[in-house]
Amino acid sequence: MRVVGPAIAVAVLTLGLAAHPARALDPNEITTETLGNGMKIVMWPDHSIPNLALYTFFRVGSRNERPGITGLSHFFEHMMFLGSRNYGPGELDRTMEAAGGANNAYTEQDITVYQDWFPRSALETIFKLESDRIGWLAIDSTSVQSERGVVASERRRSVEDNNSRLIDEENWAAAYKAHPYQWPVIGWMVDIEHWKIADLRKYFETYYAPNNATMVLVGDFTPEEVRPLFKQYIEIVPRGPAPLPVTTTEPEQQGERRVEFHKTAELAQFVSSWHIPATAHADYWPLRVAEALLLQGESSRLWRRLVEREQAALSVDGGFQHALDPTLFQVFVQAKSGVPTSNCEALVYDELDRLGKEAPSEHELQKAKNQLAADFYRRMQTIAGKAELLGRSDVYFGDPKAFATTVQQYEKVTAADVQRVAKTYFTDRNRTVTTLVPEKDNRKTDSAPSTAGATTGGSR
Amino acid sequence: MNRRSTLLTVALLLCSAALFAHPALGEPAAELVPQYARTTLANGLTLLLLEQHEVPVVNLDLTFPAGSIADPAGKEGLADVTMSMLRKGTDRYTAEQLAEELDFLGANLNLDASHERCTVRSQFLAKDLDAGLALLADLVLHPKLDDAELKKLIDLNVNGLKELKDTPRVVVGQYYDAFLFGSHPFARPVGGTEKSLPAITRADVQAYAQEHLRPNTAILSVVGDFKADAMRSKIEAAFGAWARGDAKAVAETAAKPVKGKRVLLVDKPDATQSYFRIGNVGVARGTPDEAALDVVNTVFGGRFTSWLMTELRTKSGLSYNAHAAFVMRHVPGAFYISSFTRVDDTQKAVDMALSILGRLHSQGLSDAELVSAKNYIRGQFPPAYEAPGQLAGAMSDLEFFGLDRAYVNEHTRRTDAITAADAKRAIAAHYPTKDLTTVLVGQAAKIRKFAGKYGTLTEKSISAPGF
Repeated sequence: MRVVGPAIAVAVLTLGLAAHPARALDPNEITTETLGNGMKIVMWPDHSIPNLALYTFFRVGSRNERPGITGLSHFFEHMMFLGSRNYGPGELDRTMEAAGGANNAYTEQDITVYQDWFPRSALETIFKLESDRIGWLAIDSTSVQSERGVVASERRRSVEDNNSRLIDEENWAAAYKAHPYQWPVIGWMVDIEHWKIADLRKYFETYYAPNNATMVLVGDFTPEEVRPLFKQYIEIVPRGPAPLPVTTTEPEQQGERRVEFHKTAELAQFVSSWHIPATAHADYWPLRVAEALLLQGESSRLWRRLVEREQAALSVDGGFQHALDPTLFQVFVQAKSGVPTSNCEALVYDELDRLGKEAPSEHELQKAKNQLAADFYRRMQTIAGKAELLGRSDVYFGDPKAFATTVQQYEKVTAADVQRVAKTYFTDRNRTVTTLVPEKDNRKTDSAPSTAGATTGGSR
Repeated sequence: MNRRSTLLTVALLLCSAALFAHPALGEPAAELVPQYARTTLANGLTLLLLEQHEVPVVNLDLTFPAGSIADPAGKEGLADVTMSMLRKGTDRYTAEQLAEELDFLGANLNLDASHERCTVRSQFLAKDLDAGLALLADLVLHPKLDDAELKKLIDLNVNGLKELKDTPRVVVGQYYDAFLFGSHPFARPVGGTEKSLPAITRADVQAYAQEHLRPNTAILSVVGDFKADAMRSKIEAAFGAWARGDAKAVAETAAKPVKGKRVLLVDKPDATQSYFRIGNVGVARGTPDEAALDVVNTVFGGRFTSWLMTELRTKSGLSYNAHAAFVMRHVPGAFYISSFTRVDDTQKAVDMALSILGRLHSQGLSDAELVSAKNYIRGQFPPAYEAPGQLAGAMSDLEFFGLDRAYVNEHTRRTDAITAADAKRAIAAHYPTKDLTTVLVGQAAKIRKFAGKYGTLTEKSISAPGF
């Protein structure tokens, strides 16, 4: 990707002159290398605080699952903390915390990401721990059993006792028939209860090979001091066979799909979604601008119409995520008490139609671009934010430095582009609607149906 | 616009760091909160300024020493509503126009009330500073407080309470505070109730703003990519005309720990898990035992390998999360243990949490745990002072609590000095033993039969108004 040249650098260097010593933020300082075993490493020194962030991106998520093992990627993420060759169950966390480090991890449809945050003094400890679990995970049957309970509790807390997550997973399940995005990242409860240890072992061998991952290190270090650590601890992990590609593509949707979900609840809500292309598609950028224009801030079209002007909804949110395969653009609406969801739906569709019929003004377009640019800078404020940005840039744009041109990409989007994507994707036949129908409390004491699931990944 | 944006990107990517030597690797870190300028404007506004040039943004963080504790009885939620009304139009702009202007700048604006303070936290791109500052001053100095907008907001907030009650893990905190603090102002839900919100009038909002949103008690912290001298003049120009008021910080009285064992059971018949909090009144910010409690609580319920997490999650698989916390304010806030589990395991999980609390008193921390906790606190401390918004918040906090930079910069030294004896004393003094308040949110039909063993039982339905 294009990096700003040195001539321009000299011209603007003085802009940063100040009394308080400024800190390094030069993408020319980003180094990308590939180790002998295929592990890609990305390094960006930033000495603003005496800490580092090490993020490991594995290219595996619920997209790589099949019926019967839904949620296995997320469960596996939990297992990565529960023992390896030299560290028994719980020892990774105890060792890391005793050295001043902390960690977390999250799983999505396409990726599983492990995050370590630690002081300089813990550098070598972190490499030892990561090496051991990436290369030599030990799957302990007692831990598998108790961790199943943890994940079930996570699912009840974040899905079954959370109405918008419930309709979210029903929405994906209805919008996809063939492609694996149809099941939730956390998995169906019945699958959570039935994974076998053999499934986990196979998963580790298939997807946790170094050649299926990128490690991103940002913070208080020099590449010279960490290169030997990568060599000593990470390069020794044996390469694995390349995982099989996901070949299923979702057939084009040829008519609206509608799903109802009945449940005890105070308020009704719904989500409407439309199939859109993968992140690598050129329409990604105009769709991001459309997303900001429709959903970002109190002046956004949907918020203004539904919440402020018509006072029909309590909130409107949604949008879309990075995705390796064609994904969904979703709009979630929490209707106000007494307002039928059909009224809210009509308002949403009216706004989407309007965007397809008339191009937005230059002022409105610039507003969306300004919001997106400001968001981009906000993500660069911390070493953790930068590590996230670099890793995602690598996974979704094929180059960790691709993020550097984000603002330029937004600037290229025209009003006609936004109008065109709205017209192309926000059609009736491409739409899937899931409505939560509140039921009066009937004093039932059974647990919620065990068929419900989740789409977005949670933290560890 | 295009050209400006491009320049901005370049400036961001190529800051001046190369011109300055970094501290050598391995040397002790520079101060996390560097020396910042502190001045008082003629109208009494306390202004704190710190340049930070890493990212081309400016954070402005305004704090008023009043919050829901200043809400009149029956008008709970007034501070929160007043703050929200600041973005609902000014003498110059309608609510819609103001939203449009703020969004055009890509600004962040958070208007909040908590128990003790009201805050306006904002971030603008450095290139938009003048426009942003003008909007900020306009909405703080000249809010329109339009009646139609107020009715709309209150209606939304009442609906918001219904939404909250559909999400039990969120509301358990409100029920706990209400039950624990009883008649003390910390019992009040900051966002109000289904009954109190509709009682709030425009006159109430105006009176609250008149009294409490005044420069002479306010703190304005500004951190980011600017020159301090120029910024001072800009702030004087923007906020100089803001008139002093009679505002005084609201007098606070300390709540006393609650005697005996009491249980509140909140019935949510469709809950798939039971969510609980157990504890009592805790300690104030700046208590001499603060560093010791930080160490102890890290081991007990503050990190992934804490005792609570190890037992309730890692070993038993009962819950996804278990933790403990002290809420520190000018006067003591709550201490609580918090977790959740599936309905049928409720008793087991609560018993386990209580036995871990018992173990803290009987066994205390091992030497290895003491060392590990200190390392952990030291290692995880700097990232809380990294971004301009974090620094602005930290500077406001120091001023609000009457603390100086040493509170942050000497934090590691104070933590390192904690001994086993300090930890032991802090446990005995601040972790409850027999006097425990418990709140359970879940299926009463299944929990009721044993809930009484944790204390005198009170029961209410989640659909009853309030908390």
